[in-house]
Amino acid sequence: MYIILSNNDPLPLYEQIKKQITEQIVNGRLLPEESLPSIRALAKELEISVITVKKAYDDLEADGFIVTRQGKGSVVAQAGAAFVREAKLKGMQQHLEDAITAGRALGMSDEEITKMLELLLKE
Amino acid sequence: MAGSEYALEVQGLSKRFERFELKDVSFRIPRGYIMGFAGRNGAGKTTTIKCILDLVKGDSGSIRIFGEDYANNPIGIRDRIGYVSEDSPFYEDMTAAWTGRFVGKFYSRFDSRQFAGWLDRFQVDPGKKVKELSRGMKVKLSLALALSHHPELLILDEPTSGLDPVVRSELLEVFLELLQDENCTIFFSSHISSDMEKIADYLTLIDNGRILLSEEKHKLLDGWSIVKADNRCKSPELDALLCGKKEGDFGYSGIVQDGAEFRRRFAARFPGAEYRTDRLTLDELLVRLSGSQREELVC
Amino acid sequence: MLALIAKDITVQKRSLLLFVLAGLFMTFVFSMTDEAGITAMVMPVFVVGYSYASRSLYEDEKNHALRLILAFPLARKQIVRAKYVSIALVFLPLTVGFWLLGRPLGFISDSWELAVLQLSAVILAFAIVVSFFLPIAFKLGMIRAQTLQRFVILGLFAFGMAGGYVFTRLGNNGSGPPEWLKNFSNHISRLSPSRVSLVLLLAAVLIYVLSAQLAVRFFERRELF
Repeated sequence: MYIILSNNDPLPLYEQIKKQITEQIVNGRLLPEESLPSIRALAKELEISVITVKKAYDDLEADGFIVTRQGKGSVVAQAGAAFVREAKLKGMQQHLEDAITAGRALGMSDEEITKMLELLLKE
Repeated sequence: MAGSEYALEVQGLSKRFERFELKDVSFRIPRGYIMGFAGRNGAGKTTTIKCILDLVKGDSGSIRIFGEDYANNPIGIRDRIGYVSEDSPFYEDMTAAWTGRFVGKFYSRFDSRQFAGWLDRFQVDPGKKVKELSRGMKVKLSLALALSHHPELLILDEPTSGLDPVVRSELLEVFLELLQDENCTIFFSSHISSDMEKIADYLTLIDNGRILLSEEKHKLLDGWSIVKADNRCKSPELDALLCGKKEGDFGYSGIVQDGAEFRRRFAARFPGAEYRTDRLTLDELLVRLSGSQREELVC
Repeated sequence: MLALIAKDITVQKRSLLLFVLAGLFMTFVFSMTDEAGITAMVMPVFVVGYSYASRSLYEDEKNHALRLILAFPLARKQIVRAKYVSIALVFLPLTVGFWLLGRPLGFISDSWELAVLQLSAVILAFAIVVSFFLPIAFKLGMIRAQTLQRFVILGLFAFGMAGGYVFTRLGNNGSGPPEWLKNFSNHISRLSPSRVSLVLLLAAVLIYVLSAQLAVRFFERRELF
């Protein structure tokens, strides 16, 4: 796991932590059941306050990405990756829908759109 | 461990002096966290700390430490508090090592090996007299004394003021290290807000003897924002949302706690007009709030 | 409490030595003049003892060391009592030491009983002065009590001088003292000096203890800034 915080980022620090951990779960750098550093250890490492890290972890837990077990710390949730994948899939579907809408706006037929997609896939 | 989930609870503390008054001071720190106590010089920080240490008795209100009252267990409570003041530690003509031996005789959990370890780490020469130490070294010695008896509540009065940035960040690192122990709570006052922005979990702002705000740090800093707009876009209902307003020839600005509400009202009142919102630093928050009365705040 | 007493003496080790040397010098100078008598003992002992007491309080307040000590897990009465004990621990050996010097240097009465009486009187006098000063210092703080202290010192000088004078006359059995004092002292000497000494010492202890109680009361209510 890696986390790089920036003071220039308009996102609050805990959002930056959340974003980076989520990304690493999604792209498989963090695997299900893999344990995360403790809140206090991470706070010390990043030289930020404990509560900032706690807030990030709390949010991640509420979103289903991680699970915190009493006395054992936090681990990446089993469902976390699947959950993210689904979200990504939805995003991709959205992009396709946008493309279709744009094609139709240009007066393209469904066949023409499919053909273009096939052409692009072959590239 | 017995006791409350709060290491320190100050409730309705008032104390009247000839020229100054602490009024209804309330805040509390959950165990295992670090609270920054910010305010201008003379705002009442040191007086509040003296009340917490029972050096000064409040006229009314209560102070509970680990859920206990001083009246019930003054000695037991003090044994668990580490105090670092802005003054030199103890006797100027005595050496750091002597001071350690002296302090060690009073605390039940004082660990002299650990004291030597801290001095070593802080590079304080144990053989040097207190008066020969620089300001930074004195603070480090005070901290070493306080840490060596394993306090559960560390109270620091302006520990970082007058120190260079390198020493300051060294101390902040030590604080974060201490917090690895979930039973260690830190309360520190400062007028250097960048230190707090970095490591504090909770912030309490005091001005003129009154608490302006006491809140989780990110709730404060992410909640409040600063808005700047054109003088043409001014209305009493918007003003009502703003604290610490400043007006100039070219525009006005103020801080607002409920950014969404401001946005909504602004759009309704001046459709299409523009304004800017910025994240707030603790300094700005303090400056803007210090002038305004508490009653104006919707906190 | 022992640690506080040890601290008082350690912190002042050097200045205490200096005070004692100055005291010895005074004693020798005084003992050279014939009329000095017991003043040769009273003056230095008072100056040293009193300097130690006030300096000890001053050291605690300088740099707010007292504030840090109050943050110790320690009852306030312990702090007060330690101060009283440390002052007594310094003053008593000091006084006895100077008193022992008095024999060879000739400013103490040749009669053993009268000599003890002189010693007891000095102790009582010092106990009275310190018992007056310490509660004020514990109530107002050393720094604020300093103005008062000056008057106390003036009073102390006058007291010391007068005491020395009277005792000198008493010791020399001269013809100077007024009739009532002469009668009084004759009366007392008839009473057996050792018994009087005992009464004086008991009075000294009583005054000192009462003063300590008062100082504890004051100090417990004191607010420290």
